[in-house]
Amino acid sequence: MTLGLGIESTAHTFSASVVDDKGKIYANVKSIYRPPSGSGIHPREASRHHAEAAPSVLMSALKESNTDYKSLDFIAYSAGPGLGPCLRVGATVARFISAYYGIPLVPVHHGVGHIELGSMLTDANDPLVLLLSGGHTMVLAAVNERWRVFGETLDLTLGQLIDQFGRAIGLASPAGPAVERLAEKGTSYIDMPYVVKGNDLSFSGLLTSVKRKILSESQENLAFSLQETAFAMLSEVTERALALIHKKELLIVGGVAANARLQQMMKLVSNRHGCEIKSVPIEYAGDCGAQIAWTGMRYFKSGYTVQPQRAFVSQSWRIDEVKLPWRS
Amino acid sequence: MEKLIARGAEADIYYGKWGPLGAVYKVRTCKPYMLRELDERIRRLRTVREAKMLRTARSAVDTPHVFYVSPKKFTIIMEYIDGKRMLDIIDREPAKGRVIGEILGKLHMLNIIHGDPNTANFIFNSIKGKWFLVDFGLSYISSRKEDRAVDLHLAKEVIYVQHPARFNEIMEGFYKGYVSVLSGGEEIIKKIEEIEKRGRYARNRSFYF
Repeated sequence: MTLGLGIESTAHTFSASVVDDKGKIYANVKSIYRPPSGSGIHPREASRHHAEAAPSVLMSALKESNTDYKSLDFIAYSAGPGLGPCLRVGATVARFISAYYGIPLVPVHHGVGHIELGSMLTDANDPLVLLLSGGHTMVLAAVNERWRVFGETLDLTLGQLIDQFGRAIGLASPAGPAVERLAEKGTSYIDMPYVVKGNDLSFSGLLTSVKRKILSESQENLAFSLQETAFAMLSEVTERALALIHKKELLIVGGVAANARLQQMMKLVSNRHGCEIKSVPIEYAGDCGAQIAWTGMRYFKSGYTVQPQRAFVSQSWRIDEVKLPWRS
Repeated sequence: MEKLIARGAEADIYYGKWGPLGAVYKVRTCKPYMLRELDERIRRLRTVREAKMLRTARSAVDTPHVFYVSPKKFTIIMEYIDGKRMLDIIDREPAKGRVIGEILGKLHMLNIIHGDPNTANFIFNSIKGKWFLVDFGLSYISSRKEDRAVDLHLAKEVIYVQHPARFNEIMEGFYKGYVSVLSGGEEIIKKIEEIEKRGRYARNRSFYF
């Protein structure tokens, strides 16, 4: 049996997880940095949180899995994209353990991590993927060992849009769940800019518009209109992709995947195109160590490891640059 | 309306008759997942705009004749174009990339931005011996270089996803065709790079390789 440890630290979450090569997740321990209400993630503060949380998160992950460092076959860490200071904490921890115990290291792209874990948990074979988080808003399909971008945001991501709106009305980041609860109480739709350019999306105008109306409209109606507009745009692009490349599965991953209204809309979209929706359990939808550990497993099995002195991180790393040797 | 030919992202396409002529009924159907007000606003806007753009674009490229428009029923009835789609032949004949470039160049000359230039929207009618451009649902008027470049970027993006094996050959013809009809086309092509660099997490090199 192959056993691997995954360390995630791209943004607000520091998490460690242990998985085996059958896809069994022994532990998935998280510690999330919470900025004060009304402000976003401060990279330095978040990285300080991660450095402080790292020892206990790692210890509980190992303890829950009844294992120790010496039994691990590899250590995977999130190498990007993300906030520099946060990425460096995870990478430093991973390099240290790797050098000290002589365990191979595997760098993992955070976005690929979301998708691979999602595919494994939902038994998706060859899905159309919606990667929706604070860092990505993309519609993807695998072609020739790579995730090809079918459509993406030209400016803000869905996660940023929701967080920044949340921040503007005084909520704490990540604001997704709070905005969703507000939206459930919204009753009337306020006109918002709807911007779809071919297969690409643009959310910046929507954010400006909603921020300008904060004083004149109720928060509930704003949250409702924001969600309805943004999700409708995304649904349209998803429909375009399904109409063009006829995938039979639709996999939704990333933090925003936890939104119930989005799930409901995507279900209707996929019904129209005879497509099966695959949604990831909420625990694994957001950032977590399991996504890194499981993707690390796939790379490790394909013979891909790096030396600690070459284990870098990168704040910018496009998902379509990443090779996926197991998806030929 | 006789039979459903295609179910696209935003409309159902039926084949039918308009008098003695073969016709396409493009019906923008209700989207059950969307809020009704938003849905109707978009469907109405796009129906009217598409009909207008189909007519305007005719002076530069071949598009189907519009027979009838009903904003209330979100329907456009237009000429049926029989033929082969670029999507199905370009993998065998990557040099046809040139045709895509030429057609988009001519359209941009008229300050029309197509907005959805995927290879399924180019149809070759062998009787008339002409390439037709269809689906103007996302088209609009603009003379901005930025909008033209975004249009080309969209085309490039879809070609990359739909025809990855012949991508380079197709793009070579595509650029040649574009500059051959649009003076100043080189500048627009250069601007594509700028747009790609703006993409999330794009590094200094071109984002594809």
